[in-house]
Amino acid sequence: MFLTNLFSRPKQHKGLTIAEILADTKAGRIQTVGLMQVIPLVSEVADHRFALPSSAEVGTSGYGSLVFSNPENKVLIVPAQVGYVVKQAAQDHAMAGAGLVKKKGKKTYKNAMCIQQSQGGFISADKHKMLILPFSLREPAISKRKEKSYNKLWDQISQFNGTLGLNKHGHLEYFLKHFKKELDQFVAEFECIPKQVGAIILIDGKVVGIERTPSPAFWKTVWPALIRECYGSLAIECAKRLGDRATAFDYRQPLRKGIRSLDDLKRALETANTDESELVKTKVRELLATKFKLEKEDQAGDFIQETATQAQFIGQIVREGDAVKYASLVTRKTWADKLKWFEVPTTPAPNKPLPFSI
Amino acid sequence: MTLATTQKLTLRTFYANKWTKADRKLFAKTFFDFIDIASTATGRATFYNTQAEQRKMILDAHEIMFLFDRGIYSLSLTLPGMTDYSRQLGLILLLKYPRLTGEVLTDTQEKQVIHHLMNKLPIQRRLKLFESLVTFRINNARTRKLILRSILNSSKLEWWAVKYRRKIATALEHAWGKRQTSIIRSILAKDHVWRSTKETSILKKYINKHITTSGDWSKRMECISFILGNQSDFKQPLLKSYVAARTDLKAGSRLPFEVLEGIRSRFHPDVSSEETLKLTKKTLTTGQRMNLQRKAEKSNTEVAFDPTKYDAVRLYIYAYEMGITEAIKTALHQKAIQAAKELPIRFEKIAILVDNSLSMTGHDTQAMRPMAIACATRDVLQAAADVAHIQYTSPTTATSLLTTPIGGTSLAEGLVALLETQPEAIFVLTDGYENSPAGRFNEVMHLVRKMGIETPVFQLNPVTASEAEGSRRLSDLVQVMPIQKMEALNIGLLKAIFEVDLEKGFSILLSKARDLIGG
Repeated sequence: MFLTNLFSRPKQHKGLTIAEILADTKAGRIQTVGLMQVIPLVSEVADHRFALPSSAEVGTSGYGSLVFSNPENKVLIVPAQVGYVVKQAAQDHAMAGAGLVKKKGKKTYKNAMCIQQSQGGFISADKHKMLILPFSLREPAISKRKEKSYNKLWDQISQFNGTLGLNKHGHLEYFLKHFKKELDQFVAEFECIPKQVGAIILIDGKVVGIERTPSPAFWKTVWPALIRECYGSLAIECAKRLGDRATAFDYRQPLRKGIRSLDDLKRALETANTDESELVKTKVRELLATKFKLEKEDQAGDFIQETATQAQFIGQIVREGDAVKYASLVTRKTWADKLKWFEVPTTPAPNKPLPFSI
Repeated sequence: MTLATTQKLTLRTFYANKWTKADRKLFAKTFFDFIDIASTATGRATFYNTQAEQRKMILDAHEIMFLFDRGIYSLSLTLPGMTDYSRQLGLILLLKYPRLTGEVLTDTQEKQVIHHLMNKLPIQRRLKLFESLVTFRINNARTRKLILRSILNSSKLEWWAVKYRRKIATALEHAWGKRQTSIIRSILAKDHVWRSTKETSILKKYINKHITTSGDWSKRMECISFILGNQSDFKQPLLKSYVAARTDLKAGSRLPFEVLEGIRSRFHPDVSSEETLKLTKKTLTTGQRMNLQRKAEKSNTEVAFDPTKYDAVRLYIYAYEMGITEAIKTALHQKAIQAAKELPIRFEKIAILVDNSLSMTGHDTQAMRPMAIACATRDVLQAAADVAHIQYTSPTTATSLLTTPIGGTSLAEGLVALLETQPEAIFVLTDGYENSPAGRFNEVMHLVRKMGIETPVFQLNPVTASEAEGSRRLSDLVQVMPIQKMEALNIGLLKAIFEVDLEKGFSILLSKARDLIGG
């Protein structure tokens, strides 16, 4: 028995579909503000075996090294592409991928990266406010997760700043400072609902991100950072690209014509809500059966951290067996470019019942 | 163009019928923006805005109104429902800028307004104002007189002296100047028997001259001596306690909780904080009694808490934290009935739509305040009507007064459901953020009006959103009333009158202000 275990190779996982990643969750009522739409994902199952990311003490031990101390008696999932922009005279840093830190453990990620080009100094270990890297920087970051170079993201940050009309330097804080007001609004506009553990995010009518966490408490901790810096930044980029088309009413289903009474109005509201929800859900349904290739990155007990890739999405997940506890997946740039962003992806509809339906 | 840049728009030119339609429109917009901000903004961070953003927005609105007409500006600030922060800002502007000829209010009337505004401020806010006067270097004769009279004439000077010693000392130094303060300190350190004639005349000039209330002057002198840092043998009981508590904590049982707590942590670090609470439980202020309930529970100390002494918003905030009791429920009910009686209008049948989405939780620094305001307003409106239909945007326990903020914001369906009840008016209690989907409420309002349904819809907004330059509006067809305190409902209704008839609005404003300040 012992020898069997010792010499048996870990089996390569056959891969997971989005439906499997989102198993045990249900879609809540869609929220629409301007270009952005959010489908909340709720679950009756809350897994409280994970420490909240806000409980971790974070600091840098060198340029390109982020250190996480987990004070809890629970495993800590470090959210994918989490970043820390601090007020102290220290270089802001971010993670290239996600992370797993054992109970009461401490872990140094030497593949982290600097997001503030011309600033020296190390971040002192403390509970710092986190952000998630802007959407456009997440794929480049995850692609460079195996490189150990503190300045590996500077070019992409410069480019990102440039597209938004800011100084082309590897300083993420330029963006955060310039668009502070807009970013703050996203947090207020999209609200968490009870039992929410995740969300599917659409911008300009396209699915751009799929997020899942172990519990509502975990979700509440990461959602402000996801909606503010990650997806909020994409909404800003998109609004800039769309120009005048980016009006607040583009993605709301208008109420039908010929309403003459309150009864009519009531029915029209119901129809518009159903139509809006259906329209968005159709786009999501088409994605559910596509499979991700998984590549193992780390393990803590039974929890395995993997990078998940397929033609349309890239991201990282944490699973226990086949049960996905955490997932953060974003649309790949190659996919968006190929579709010229505005076309709807067309994956064949599944033939058999899926573990997640929408 | 703003009111500030339009020299011809003043109250005088209004009464001389020199305002065009465009002038009236410009005034109405500026005035309503100012009223919205001045009656809600606290200068603190909200769920959406930083403190700096809030403060800039508030200051801009004040300056524009001040430059338009100093008289209307200062009278507006006397209305019930204006925030203390706005009153502080108003006093700064009135004290900073000299009066010009031809102002609506006479010099005496303006002084009355200034005194009224100052008396409305609780001591903490007054000291905050004095701090700002120091920061902005406002030190003219009027300011100096105001500071000195406000401090020296207080019947609570001894209590203030032990509680706010340093802050009062800073204010006095600002009024007297460093050199003079130092001279006064030295003179007060001496026994009055040993003071020279010159020294006595200095005290008369700088202290006695400003004391207009009756009472023992020597007691006030002793308090000032204590404030300025003298260590002589004090006779006043509180001052004596203060000094004695440094060696014997029990001797400080008369002192305010936080003062004795400060002495304990510095001179008696081995004694627990709960001991301070036990010693000072009789001196706790009504606010402290509420705030210290949790600590009292922990240390098994019974701190009497009378819910009837707190305003409804604070009671709701307290109840959200500590739970609701029958006594709180009764107090809330009585307060709602009382507040409803003071409204200028009573309704037969109204409808109330309560937004209990997550954003109504508010910012961490003022957690649950928006929801608490919404609940308190709901109660007053309900009490002001024979029949009130209430609808919530997210499911809530109908039997509980405490509405839990959860979920997204879908207001349109609620609006339609309430319109079916055919009310006289609909009040929507919301922060103005809609997401299921955004803009639906406005779309429905337009359709409703097209159908010929003219039911007035009022949006009562419990937070100020600076990105929207005032209260965030759900629709161009609703009237927005910012609500921070229950008195603001009066302001809201006054604003509604202004929207219909500017002249009537001015006359109500002037007469209301006259009732308050006299003259």
